[in-house]
Amino acid sequence: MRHTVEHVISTIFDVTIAKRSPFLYTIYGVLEDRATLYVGQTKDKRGPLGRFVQHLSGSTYLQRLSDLYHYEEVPLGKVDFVAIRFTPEKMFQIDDQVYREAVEGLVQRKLINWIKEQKLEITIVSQTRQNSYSKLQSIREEADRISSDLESWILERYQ
Amino acid sequence: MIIKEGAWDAGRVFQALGRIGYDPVSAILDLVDNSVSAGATCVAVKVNQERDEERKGQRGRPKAILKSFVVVDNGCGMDEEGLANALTLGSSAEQYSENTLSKFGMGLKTATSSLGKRLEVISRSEKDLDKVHKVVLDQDLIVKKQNYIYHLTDPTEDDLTELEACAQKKSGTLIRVTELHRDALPRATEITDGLKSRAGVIYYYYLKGLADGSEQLSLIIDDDDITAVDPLFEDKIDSNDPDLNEHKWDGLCPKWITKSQAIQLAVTKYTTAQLDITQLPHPPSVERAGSMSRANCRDYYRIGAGNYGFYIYRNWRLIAWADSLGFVPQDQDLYAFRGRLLINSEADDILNIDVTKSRIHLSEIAQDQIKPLVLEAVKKSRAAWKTAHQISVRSLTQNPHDTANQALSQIADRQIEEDRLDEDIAPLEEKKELERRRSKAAEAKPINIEDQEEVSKTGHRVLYVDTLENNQLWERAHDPTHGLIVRVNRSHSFCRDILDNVPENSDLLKVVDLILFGIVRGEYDLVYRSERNEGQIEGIMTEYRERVGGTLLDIIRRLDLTDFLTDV
Repeated sequence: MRHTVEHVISTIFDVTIAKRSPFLYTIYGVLEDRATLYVGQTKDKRGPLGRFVQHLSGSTYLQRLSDLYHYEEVPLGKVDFVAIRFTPEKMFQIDDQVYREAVEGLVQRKLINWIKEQKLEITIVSQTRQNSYSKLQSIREEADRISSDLESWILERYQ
Repeated sequence: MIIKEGAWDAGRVFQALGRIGYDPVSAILDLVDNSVSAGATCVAVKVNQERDEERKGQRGRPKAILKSFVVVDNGCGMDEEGLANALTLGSSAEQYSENTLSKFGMGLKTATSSLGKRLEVISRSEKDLDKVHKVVLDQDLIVKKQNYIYHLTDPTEDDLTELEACAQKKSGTLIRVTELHRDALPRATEITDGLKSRAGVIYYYYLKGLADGSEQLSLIIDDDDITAVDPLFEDKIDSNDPDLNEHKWDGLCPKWITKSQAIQLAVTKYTTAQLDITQLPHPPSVERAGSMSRANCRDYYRIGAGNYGFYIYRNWRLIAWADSLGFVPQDQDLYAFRGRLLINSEADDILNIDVTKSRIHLSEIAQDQIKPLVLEAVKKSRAAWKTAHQISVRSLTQNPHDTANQALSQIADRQIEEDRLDEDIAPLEEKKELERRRSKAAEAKPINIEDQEEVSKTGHRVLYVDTLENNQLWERAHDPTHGLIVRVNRSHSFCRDILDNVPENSDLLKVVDLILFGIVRGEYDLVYRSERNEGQIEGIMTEYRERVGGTLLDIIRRLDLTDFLTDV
């Protein structure tokens, strides 16, 4: 299977995006006029930028698009990427990703609700896990902070 | 290419339509759907019986047998053209409103032919209130003539009297089914009981006046007013109530697990569903609290084998009762699990809704979004049920943790005594150092107030707590009176996915308590008795516990738990 990436735009203004640090990221991709959003978290040794490269080289993101939209070759148009650093709290910094996954799951749920409220035509294509830590106040606050930042970023892309 | 018209046998097709899988309750409620779609605010259903004439003169009491089913409403009614459309196989979709309960325009014909061979429709249209139309569709005649026919006739006085029960001289429709398939139908009481027990849930939103674009519905079944029943009992949950905490729930009141979560249903069409999940009370706990008997609680909240799972509402009308969605397993500990999925007719093609509108097939994206939420909710519901059970029986029986703690308590007391003796006989300098390290070890891991209260109440050395920092499975703590304590993280996957799944294996639970206490005792000994720097030891041990927590989670995620736990 071969995936074609026609056009990629990304702006880097923070060098930590290529360093090993915990981030929550989203990929906003347009697929034949259909907007898609992928939510993920990483503490990749090459930073979220390294993870993004993996996604565009046939990793989960393109595979998901291929599976969901039944493309042999994914005709991906515009792609935007944003990564938001987790707060320095230790739970988000440790190698164990269970707390970052809890935030990721909550962010995805919040974005699905927000997309519905805003009547946006965006499909969230990522698969997230849910776990029992999502009830913790610190997890909820982190998810609120990140999703609120993401909402304005998504609106800019969508318009 | 030659185009030829295919032949069909109207009689046989019509008979087949009545056998597409309706049960009598669903068939009658499909007729109620038509009334609701026609904007009715009053619908009355009657299951009529008569004396069995064949038994006349025989010994014993005369048997009552089914005579007819009647559904009458005050909807918009139909004129001759409307009636013609209603009797068309595959009625025109143009006649339906946006939130219609219809889908293929087959309900009236298929539902009635599953009940009986003769259908009468008597209707007064809002377009002409002076005229009442009546049509009769007789299956025997269709079979005889081998043609799909029906006849127009004048309504009788009885027809008009019955129509006015709801229409009251205004528009409305009466559907009467006679020549019933008695051999295939259950007893009348079984049908009316089924109707009464299901209709309140099925038309919950209409009966409450909450369905978009519809006025509040009054539904009467055999002279009884039907009350709206929300299977999730959300009005019993205080809006300020926190969501279900599965480790502390006392089982007395319903709780939210997931509230108003949107689910995207398709990747090419922007249609969503709304998902809600609640946890209903634990009847034995309610009974012990004295607010309601166990049986009354089960009846009131409908807690039982056939009622847990997802209630799927399409256009505010229930189409699937307690569906597992493929994610809710059969388990008595899930009896209090209630989910709801609200969809509208935009989702029909995406979810492959069938003719009886009772089965759906989730799209891939919907499954992907629903599955993690439901699996997590199922875990919570099951754990909460067990917590409520443990709380309610705590005073009556002893659980494995109590047994383990009793044994550990005696051992821990002796260990404290032995530590003191060791200190007493040590040379003065070593004694001072041991005392210093002992108090340092205790200061480094003080017990919190909540746990201290629990320890003083129960004397437990192994405490299962809500959560621990950084996904540790266990943590050491020191109580000023009882000494060394081990705090175990109930939210860790080891507890939720392993221990919670083997509640009957009491020996395993005791062994786990024993191992964890042994581990913290070893950690304490290392800090207390080692000659190495205690600060460094504490740091290393903290990192060790965190790494074990993470590694253990990783191992559990890679396990096929169904196979693994069967072996246990």
